[in-house]
Amino acid sequence: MKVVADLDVCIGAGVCVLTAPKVFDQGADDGLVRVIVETVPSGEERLAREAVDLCPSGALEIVDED
Amino acid sequence: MVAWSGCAATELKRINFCYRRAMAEPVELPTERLAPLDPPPALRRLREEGPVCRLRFSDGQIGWLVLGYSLGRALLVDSRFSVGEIVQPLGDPEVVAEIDRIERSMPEHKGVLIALDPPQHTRIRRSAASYFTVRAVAEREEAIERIVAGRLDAMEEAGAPVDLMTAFALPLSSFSICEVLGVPHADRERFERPSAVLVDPGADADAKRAALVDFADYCREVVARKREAPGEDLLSDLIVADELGEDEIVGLARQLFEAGHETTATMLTLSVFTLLSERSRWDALRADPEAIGAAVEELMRYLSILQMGTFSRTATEDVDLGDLVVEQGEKVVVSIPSVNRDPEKFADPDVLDLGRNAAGHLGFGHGKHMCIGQHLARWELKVAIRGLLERFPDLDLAVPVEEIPFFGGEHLLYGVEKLPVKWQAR
Ligand code: HEM
Ligand code: SF4
Repeated sequence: MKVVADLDVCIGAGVCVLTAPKVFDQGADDGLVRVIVETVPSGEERLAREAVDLCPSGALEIVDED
Repeated sequence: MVAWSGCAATELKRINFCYRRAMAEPVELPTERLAPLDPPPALRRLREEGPVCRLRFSDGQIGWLVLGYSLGRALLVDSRFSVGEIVQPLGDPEVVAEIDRIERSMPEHKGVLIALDPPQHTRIRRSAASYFTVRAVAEREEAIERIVAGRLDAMEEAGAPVDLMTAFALPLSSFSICEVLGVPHADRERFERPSAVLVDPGADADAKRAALVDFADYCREVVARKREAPGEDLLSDLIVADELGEDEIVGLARQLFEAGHETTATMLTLSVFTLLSERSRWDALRADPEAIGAAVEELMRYLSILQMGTFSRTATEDVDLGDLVVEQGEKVVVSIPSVNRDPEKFADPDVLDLGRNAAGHLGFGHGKHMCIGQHLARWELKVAIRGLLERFPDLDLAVPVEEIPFFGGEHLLYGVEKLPVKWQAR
């Protein structure tokens, strides 16, 4: 499973980082989301999904569902 | 034939439902509570009838009140709604309209996030976002701890009983926002006073107008000070970066001062009341301080202090959200207390379960206006509750519950005015 982020949409609310800190971070300069893993580690999938669902701006999307 | 009837039946049911909702007598926002920590029972009755109802705003216009969780979320992310022209469910409509008009005519208005739509909103929000990230806030933990320790010392020195609002919660949240914006703690009066007048449902238009002017003067003065002598803070960085105009920076400062202290102070005081009014909750967190983070999240859901709901949104075109069909120009408010107690999202919603996963609550809103200060507020609440538990493990209410003054009604927030607490001196 992979997650992609749309930086034009992200508002930097950081809900993703709060929810799945091993998958997401926020840029120190702009506060916007960074997906910090190439593929979501299997142990983190549930939290990553939750983060995608909770993101208030709809910036996150799951691609490559396996 | 079968397919047709199935589909049409659903559609008919929906149209019928929407029609019924549309024709129904509009309600005024219910505020009457039976128990201090439960939303007005009328809200629940309305939600049981459907996820949305007709609402009469205080100026007489009819709009919508969203009561159901999933509809609330869908609405708050929908870009066909604008925050332009705020109306309120309650409060003197002339004062509300007059203040909204004055605010919009002030040059600083360009920086007040909650009143802006994209692209202005996006640009300004992003200029400040990096100061409110999870990491940026975590890096302030020490500063917040210092502030909390200072207040705890002052409480100890004063001796019991003290009012937790004035002795602890309010200074703590004001000082925290002072740190982010880089102003001396002694400035708190300058922003607390006008903010209090602006949210006071009893203040008239003249008082509010004066408060707006005072507030803008103060923020302008702060920005001028920063221009003279920049420091390491949000405002200095915004000035140096030179991406926002002067008015935008002043307006953003005002918004952060304003939105950043009373909310957190009210939430903290009401949370402590909630924990102390049923001692086992307090003791549970004392035994397991690791659980404070989840507890704060559940308290945010359960208490939903923005009792009047979100600010109003206006449909910029006709919008069909299934359960809700809004005509262009109509206004909608999402009831935060109602959506956070929606059983379709939260099992046993009326039970405060400090161990539950309350993620997804709308206590900080949702969509592009979701609270920018949410991580700061969480840290403040966590560090403050942990500090109280450690320093005053036997903290207790100093008066019977019946004597604690709650406010709500026409106020944007629900909380306690004062929380007298006591402890045994060691
Ligand atoms: C427990 C404390 C707090 C609560 C319950 C709270 C709640 C909220 C809610 C519900 C909204 C969205 C309103 C809407 O969509 O109509 C909001 C927005 C906002 N909050 Fe908070 N807040 C809190 C603390 C803070 C703090 C500490 C700050 C400042 C550092 C802050 C600054 C803001 C700002 C600037 C907005 C507008 C954001 C935008 O329009 O993009 N809040 N808050
Ligand atoms: S939760 Fe969504 S909006 Fe917030 S930082 Fe993450 S991606 Fe951006």
